[in-house]
Amino acid sequence: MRWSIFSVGVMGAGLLLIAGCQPKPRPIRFGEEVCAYCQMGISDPRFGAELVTQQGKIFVFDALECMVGFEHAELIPVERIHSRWVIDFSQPGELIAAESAEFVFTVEVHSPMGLNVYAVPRGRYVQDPELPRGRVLTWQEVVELVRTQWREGPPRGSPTPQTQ
Amino acid sequence: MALPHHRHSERPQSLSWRVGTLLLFLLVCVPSPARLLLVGSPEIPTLRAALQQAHPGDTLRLLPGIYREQELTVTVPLLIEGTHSAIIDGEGKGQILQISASGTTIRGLTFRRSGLSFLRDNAAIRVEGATDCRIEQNRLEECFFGIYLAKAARCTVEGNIIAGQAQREATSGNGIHAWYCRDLVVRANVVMRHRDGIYFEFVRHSLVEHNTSENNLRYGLHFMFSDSCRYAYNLFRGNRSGVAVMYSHSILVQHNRFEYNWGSSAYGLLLKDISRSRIQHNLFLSNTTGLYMESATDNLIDSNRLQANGWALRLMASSTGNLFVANSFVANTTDLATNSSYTLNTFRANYWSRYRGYDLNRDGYGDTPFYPVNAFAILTERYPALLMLLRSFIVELLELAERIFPVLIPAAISDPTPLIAPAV
Repeated sequence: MRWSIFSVGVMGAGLLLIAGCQPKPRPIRFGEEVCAYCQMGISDPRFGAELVTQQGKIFVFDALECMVGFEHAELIPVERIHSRWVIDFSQPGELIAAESAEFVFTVEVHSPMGLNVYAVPRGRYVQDPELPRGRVLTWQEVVELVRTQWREGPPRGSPTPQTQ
Repeated sequence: MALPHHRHSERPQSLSWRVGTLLLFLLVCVPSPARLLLVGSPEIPTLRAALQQAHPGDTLRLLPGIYREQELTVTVPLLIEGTHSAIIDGEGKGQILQISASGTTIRGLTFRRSGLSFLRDNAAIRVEGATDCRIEQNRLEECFFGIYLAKAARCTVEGNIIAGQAQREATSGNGIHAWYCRDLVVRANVVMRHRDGIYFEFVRHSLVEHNTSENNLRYGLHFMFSDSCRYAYNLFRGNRSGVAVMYSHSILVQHNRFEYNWGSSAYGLLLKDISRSRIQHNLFLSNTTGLYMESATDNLIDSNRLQANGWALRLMASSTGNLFVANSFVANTTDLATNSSYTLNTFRANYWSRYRGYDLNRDGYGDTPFYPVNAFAILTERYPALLMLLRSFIVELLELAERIFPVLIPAAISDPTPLIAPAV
């Protein structure tokens, strides 16, 4: 009996250890880290993304478009991805799961890589009229947007400026 | 006969009538001559009041004093000027001055404390959708963003001193920020303690020259998606990440100094996805990495001096078709590092202070090729932690072994005609 309690304890501890080893995200160190895709220093805490692999390795990005670009460029096989995280625009510096977020494509704020999409928890955009206005996208639509805009990666060169 | 006579008699009458109409038209339509409004005088105590009563072409002269005003807008072309003791203090609340009238000049004023915000890039002076503006000889102190140009063209930003108070990147904007602009001139400004000193995104045909950008929290100069721009005679010093230029083609980087940028991700100059450009006559002095090139293609890198850097040049295998000629590599810890054992780039007639060959025929070129990638550079590129063995006995041994029986040193990366004396 005593032995079995002990074994249950060991098993419980083991389970805890395994649970403890679940890959999970960590905060992005703004001002210190560089984007895994575009090499830019990550500095704007309203934008950013993080990709966690099955092995617990973490890639950080200055903007969520860079995370999509990173996957699109096949720099990581899709089966190695454990989870995707994006910065909550309304809580600078805070990561939320990409699948629990909604995305806003806007002309009112400029994201570090110029595609101008920000993320907030799903439902927040309608509740908060302070947020910059734009078109709400799902994660799948963001992926499509980046893939069509960045067919060969970020554009090389400038588009024609729209000055009068 | 009667007909021509009739015409003759009518012509002077018609002419005088037309001249009269024209004079009347001129009187009605030509604006009254430009006025001088003295801001800070009892009649016009605030800049806001002056802006409300100003007509196109007027001069607004600010008398010395502190103007605690923000969210001001210039909607007609004006000259707004003063001395540096005329201080417009945004009190940390919002933006200070927005210019939406083409042909406006802001000269000689002091702007202080535009407001920190997560939703808006609050600047001291924002030019939005206007052309032919001049922002010159101003002082900007402790602002979130300094001078911000959006959808502007043919504007000049010259001789301004822009000092932020940035402690952290997150709470600091850029000194001079241009977005969707063309034909700008950014000349002889001093920018310090901002996030990026000078930032260009979607800018074309612009000139950045004779500026000093130092002690910024991220980059001294950062531009992306900005083609056909020239960066010349600038000094970039002590910026935490150096200078980064990305995703652009046909740029000229000439006669600049990139100095004292130390840190694990600090570069004198980082080129990423830059093509058909020229990097010439620059000095890369005392940086962790002088010049870093990733996916940079078909560029000419000539007559630069790379001195006393940790790595003078780090050339990633994704960079191809670049020509390195007449550069001087002087007293760097490592001259060239790469992540590949071959290269699709060309080295010709550079000076390498590490070269130990002879010039027996006295033609100015060493008689044997120089192999700039040493064994230790290959190992550290693969295993960065090995850097702690730098200058250790085991590394000396490795270099000696390579000298006798080369295994690691890539024979494919060489300068076949190294210079005997530095070219620059």
